[in-house]
Amino acid sequence: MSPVIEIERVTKRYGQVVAVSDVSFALAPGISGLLGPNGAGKTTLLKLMAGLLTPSSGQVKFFGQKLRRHPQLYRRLGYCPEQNELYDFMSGREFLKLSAGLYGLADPAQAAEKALEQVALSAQAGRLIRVYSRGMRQRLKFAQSLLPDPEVLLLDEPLQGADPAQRRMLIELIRQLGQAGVTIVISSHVLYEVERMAQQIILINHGRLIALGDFHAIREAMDDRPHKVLLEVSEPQRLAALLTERELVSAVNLADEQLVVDIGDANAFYGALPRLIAENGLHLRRLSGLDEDLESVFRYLVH
Amino acid sequence: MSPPDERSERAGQAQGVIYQQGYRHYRGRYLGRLHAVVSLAWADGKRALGIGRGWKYKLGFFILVGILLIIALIAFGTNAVTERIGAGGQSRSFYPFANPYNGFFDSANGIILWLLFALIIPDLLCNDRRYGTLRLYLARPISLSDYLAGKALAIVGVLSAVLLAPALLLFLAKALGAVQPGAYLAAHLGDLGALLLSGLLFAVYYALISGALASLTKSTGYAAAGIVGLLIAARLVGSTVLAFTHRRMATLIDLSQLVGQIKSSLFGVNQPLITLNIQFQNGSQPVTPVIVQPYPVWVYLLAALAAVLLSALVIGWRYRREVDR
Repeated sequence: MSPVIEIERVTKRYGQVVAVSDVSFALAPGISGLLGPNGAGKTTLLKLMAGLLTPSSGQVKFFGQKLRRHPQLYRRLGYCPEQNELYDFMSGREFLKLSAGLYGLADPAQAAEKALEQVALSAQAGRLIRVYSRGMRQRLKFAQSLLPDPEVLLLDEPLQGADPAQRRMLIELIRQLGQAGVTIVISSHVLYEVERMAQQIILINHGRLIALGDFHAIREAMDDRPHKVLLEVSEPQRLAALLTERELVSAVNLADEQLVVDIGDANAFYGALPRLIAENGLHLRRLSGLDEDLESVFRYLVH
Repeated sequence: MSPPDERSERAGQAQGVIYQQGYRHYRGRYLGRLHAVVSLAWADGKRALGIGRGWKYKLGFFILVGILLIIALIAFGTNAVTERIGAGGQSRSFYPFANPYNGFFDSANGIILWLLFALIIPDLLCNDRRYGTLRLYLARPISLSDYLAGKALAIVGVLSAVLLAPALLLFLAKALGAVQPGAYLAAHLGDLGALLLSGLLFAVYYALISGALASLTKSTGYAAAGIVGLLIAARLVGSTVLAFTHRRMATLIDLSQLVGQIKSSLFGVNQPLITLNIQFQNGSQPVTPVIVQPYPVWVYLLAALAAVLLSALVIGWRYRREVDR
């Protein structure tokens, strides 16, 4: 199956400033989180994918074609921009009807109502956008990206400004769309939310691609960073001594009944631990990785 | 599920029923790009007319339109007076203002129209680039040309309405006020045609020139000042050069003269240029009026066409640059 979006050696410069530098990757259906600190080049990369910026070098392909040369391809794409300025002189419903008209949908009114329902904005749809709260604008932007029932959704900080209930609703909607086979790229700096949605991450910093793929696999691949593991065990001091003696850990921290260890070679550690526990008559109550989450991966790679 | 009896009727046939298709990309009919252009023009047309806008825009728009209507009423009144005292019976080619319709668009109401252009055009063009909504438009299945066509349609449509509404009201008032309205209409059909054509000409001409200026900046304020400033400066420079040289070449400097002369020719009027004879001799400054004959109309047509083409090129260049950033 050919990739939905292909980025081939793309560089984007603004004068002397390089916003995106020699980035290459391909995306297939599913949810991908586009991560990076502020100014990393996330929005620029999303705009390049949406055909709204022209690369200084390299090329971006959407279903094998260049978007800007084939405007009809936009029927397959929903784009939710970061900016909050919309058409303030319109009501939410009018804005969506105009957007549906620009997509060329046969029944703009019906498409608008469907999108409004999807983001739970029907009740406020008749009000002018200029009186909308930030969260409502956010949902409206999201709604306009859903109008063509897109095959690809590019979402730039779609949860910004939304309250916790709205965030939950939007995350659930994004997950459902991802499960239904829509290719979704979601840029966010709220890592735990991306972790709840995205199957893979695209991590960029200073315009360069730092990591791509399943974040658990990326964490596994980071051999130079010790894994932190928490153990709740009957005799933590004894286990600490045993692990140190066998050089299975590089650092040990003891607190109450808990033992936190830094492990270099995860395979050796996890291979030896069960035998060590059994042979020494210890009782292991809890074992969990402390830096297996997305935030740790992000911290390790970016800082 | 089908009821059991229905299922038994179909027994023996291979059957399949889809109960839930799940998420699917839109597979309905698409209305095409022309529909998209019209949708955009319609939305922008409403925006330019102040529908859904804040009170500041509405106030500015309706005050200017109100002044245009008042000028139309005054024109109706003064024309009635001139007809009564006999000036209307003189040769129209010698007394151009005896034809009330020829005075529209570029005499007393000219400056009001310029202010309206400065209000409407930057608002429709600058804000989309300033707030990034241009990119939102372009993330739809429309090209940059479609977008610009929609904008042009909206601007020309609204400008035509603003230009023509007071003039048509005046025409209607005069027709209804005539002893024989039918006869008046028949006698002035040419005026009506010239009115509509010149209104459209002014709308296209000023839309492009103002649009080119607005495309140079994202600030509505700078664009508005630029539009009014350029038109006033062109008029001042043109008038000054004419006053000192008495050469008709000066009429090509004044941007409003280009379309003004074409309009007069549509009304069948030879509109001479009246300036002052300014001399500086022996410290005295005798000032006497001088009449300068304009060029043939085709010269103004060519000059206006050049201005329009140049404006279109500037707009295309600026937007292409914006999109290709």
